[in-house]
Amino acid sequence: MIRKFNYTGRRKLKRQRVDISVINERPYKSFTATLDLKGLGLSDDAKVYIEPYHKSSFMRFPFGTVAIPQTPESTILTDIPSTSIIRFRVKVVDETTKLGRIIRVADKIKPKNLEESGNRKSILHIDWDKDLDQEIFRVTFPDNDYPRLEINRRIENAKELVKSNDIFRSLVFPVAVRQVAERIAIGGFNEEDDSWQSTWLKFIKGVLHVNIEVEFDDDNNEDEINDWVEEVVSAFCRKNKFRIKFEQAINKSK
Amino acid sequence: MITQIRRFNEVGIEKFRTLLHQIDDNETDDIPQSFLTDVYSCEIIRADVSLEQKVFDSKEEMIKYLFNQISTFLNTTLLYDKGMWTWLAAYYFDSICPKKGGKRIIREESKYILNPEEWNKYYRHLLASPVRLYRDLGDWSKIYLYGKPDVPGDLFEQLASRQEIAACRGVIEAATILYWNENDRRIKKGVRNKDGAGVLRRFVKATVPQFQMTYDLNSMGGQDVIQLLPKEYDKWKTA
Repeated sequence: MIRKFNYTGRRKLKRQRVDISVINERPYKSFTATLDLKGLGLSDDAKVYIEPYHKSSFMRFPFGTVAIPQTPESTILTDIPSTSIIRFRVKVVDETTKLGRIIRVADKIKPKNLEESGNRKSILHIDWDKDLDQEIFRVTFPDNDYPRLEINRRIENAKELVKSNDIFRSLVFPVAVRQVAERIAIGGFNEEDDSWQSTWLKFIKGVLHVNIEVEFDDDNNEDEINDWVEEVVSAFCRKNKFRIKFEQAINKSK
Repeated sequence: MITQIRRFNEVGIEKFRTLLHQIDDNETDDIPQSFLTDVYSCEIIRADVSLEQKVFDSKEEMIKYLFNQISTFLNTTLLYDKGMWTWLAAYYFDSICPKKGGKRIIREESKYILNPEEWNKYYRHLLASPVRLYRDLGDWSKIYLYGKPDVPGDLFEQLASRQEIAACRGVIEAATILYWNENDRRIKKGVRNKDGAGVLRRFVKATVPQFQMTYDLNSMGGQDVIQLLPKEYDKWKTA
């Protein structure tokens, strides 16, 4: 068992106390934040910072103190790529000594997107803002986050294509699901944990009804794993009736 | 040659990309001067700002020259101006891709053509990121500006690849105190070793991330960060 030491008493800031929304504007996004820091026994003069990030890109905004919250003049995300996948870190910092000690932190906060509604949890995040040159789409696997389907922003009406064009959907989504299944098959996670792989497995078993038991971490299992991947893609296509929709869409366009 | 600062348009960027391939394939070995002012490939950004096409031997000298020329209008949008930084790379090509033994060695594209999408590509540009770090960190950026203009170096790679560290004043000040020899104005010997007590790689990959769990390094000075360091760093403090 790995023991973790926390000498400085840093504690988590519950996500329910943080409300961040991203506003989609061109050329840059911006954000608004509301924090509830009452009743936590925090020192009035502890400083509050919000740090948006995306992969290796990072920004930092001072939000005043616990007692006197102050939204900065600008929260424009100039240094963060115009991706739809931005995460936020909120830090409450004791700066009464020279050492800026973090006393509360909330990390990997997903912002609300003011243009979206509904609370359905997405297990395949779509990034609409990637310039993929001549590629149409790409599936990526960021560290510790859900798989992403990147759609080339140069494509006109990309959102429309992804949401309602059955030709596009029937060709693209099975490829994405295959790549996700292949990545899950690499193993290295525990089905009981809260990783993206576990969530996907719940979807694969519960919604696609693929209940083949496979030991992913066993190197001698290659054939079984390949069969499992094929079955996942097959079940996904069956569930969405992709061939029928594809044929109908093709006939309609003739 | 002295001319006004420009930016490539899409056509110019594509032509430059093709030239890079041609140079790599030994089909040509120079960027034609006429291309740098070709009205179909680029446009003037500021008629009142001219740049001298010198060949620089030192990254520090080149970055400071460039910054001094453009600082008055270098706003956030321009930091990400793909056309401008790519044109600058073409204009100073002899500095950032000099002929060695009669041949130029073309490295990855993002060193010459700015990729503003992601920091992990952006920082690789041989002009945009050093100018930006010089703007953000002033004299503390000297550790980034060491060496020749065409060589980013392992140290730059280690420190600049994550924006959270690249522009964190406390971390960069501490790295400078530890690894920079002010008397000789060079990086101390052994800093870039892959293994060893307190080497840069350990500082960036192990120690700083560990501190970031507990301390807000952005609100600390370099000396404060130094105070936190374990004994393995002692020899660098005095080296």
